[in-house]
Amino acid sequence: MSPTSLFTQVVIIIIAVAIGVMYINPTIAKIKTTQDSTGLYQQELEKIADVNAILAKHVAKIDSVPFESKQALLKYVPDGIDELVVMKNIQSILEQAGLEANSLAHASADAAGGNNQSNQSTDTVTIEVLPYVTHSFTTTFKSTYEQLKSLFAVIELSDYVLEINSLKVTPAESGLVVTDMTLHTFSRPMSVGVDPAEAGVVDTFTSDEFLE
Amino acid sequence: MFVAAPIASGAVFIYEKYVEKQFAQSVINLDSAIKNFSEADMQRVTEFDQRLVIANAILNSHVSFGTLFAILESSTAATVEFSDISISRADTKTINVTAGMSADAFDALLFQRSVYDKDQNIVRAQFNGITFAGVAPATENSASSQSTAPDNKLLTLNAEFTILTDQILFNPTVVTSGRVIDSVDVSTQNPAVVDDTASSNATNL
Repeated sequence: MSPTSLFTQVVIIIIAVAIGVMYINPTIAKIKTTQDSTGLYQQELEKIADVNAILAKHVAKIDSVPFESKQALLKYVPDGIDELVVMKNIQSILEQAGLEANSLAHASADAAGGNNQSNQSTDTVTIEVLPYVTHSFTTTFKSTYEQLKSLFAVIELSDYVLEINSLKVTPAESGLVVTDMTLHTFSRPMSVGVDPAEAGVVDTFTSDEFLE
Repeated sequence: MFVAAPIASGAVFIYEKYVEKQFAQSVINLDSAIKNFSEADMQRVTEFDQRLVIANAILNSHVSFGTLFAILESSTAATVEFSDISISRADTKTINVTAGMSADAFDALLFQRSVYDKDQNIVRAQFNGITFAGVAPATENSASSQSTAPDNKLLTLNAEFTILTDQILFNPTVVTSGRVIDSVDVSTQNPAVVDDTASSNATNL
């Protein structure tokens, strides 16, 4: 064996080892990292695909709900309440029951500090995880007892939530009774910056995006 | 060794390019999936879900005052009368009723208390502030008037009731088809007309 040949072999071995250490090994490490990333991206892709599929399923379900039902839901839980319209409705309900309101008011925010329940104002109540806004209205009227019971029935027939929260009945002259009633109606809390005029309120409840 | 090292290098290089291409494709696919996600649809679904949850919560706590009065009427004896009544919601589960009541005799009150105690719809019924006014002197007017008039009752008291909202939950089907609506005749009701005989049982408000 010549010394030159031995030297060549040593050089070749060194070059081979150098290629292995300086190129093949880092490249394999890089390939592994890339494969890991690809796997991660693939997982995320599957998650997003699942979400998209579930979303599409839910959208299809919503689309299958009759338009009238969606309108009813929107009216039952509107995005906002037009106090004026609700007060007009309460007056109409009283008239329908043959009664006339002695007083009718939307409890104002100014009265929020009071302890009187009938004076409570718009308030956010949390049920489970979702908050909704409670709007209070107070009314006083004089009626017979039977008229009062008839009024309960008429109120319960309202196509949006109009709930009697508190009631005080005291006797008046000639067998009549004076009733102080607090009514509640509810709405979904509006997001900050939403124009109430554009949101689905009780009287103009159409929300194109919701109903589309 | 001289041949193997370059061949291995070439193979690793080609595989690296293949893996990189796969990764690039994954990125493209992910971008495409993200672009397919519709925020508007998500908002629509979320909004619909919120409305359903809120509607469910409201409906599950919506009580019928007509039913509440029917319960009080049906469990109140003819010898006992309500003079005034105040109803408020203590919380989402209970309703507090405070009433001024009057009765002819202690026996009537004892009987009434037992009736309330047995009533499954009334969680708690408590009498307090019982006052015995004594035997009122008989006058011509009082003798001729109805004995059910509160003024003629010898016993007055305050009553407190606790009723669970579950017992009087609003049920639209009951309201639309039940007797409450049948009795409504809004077109002929006149607030000025006094209807003393309208009160059922002894619940004369």
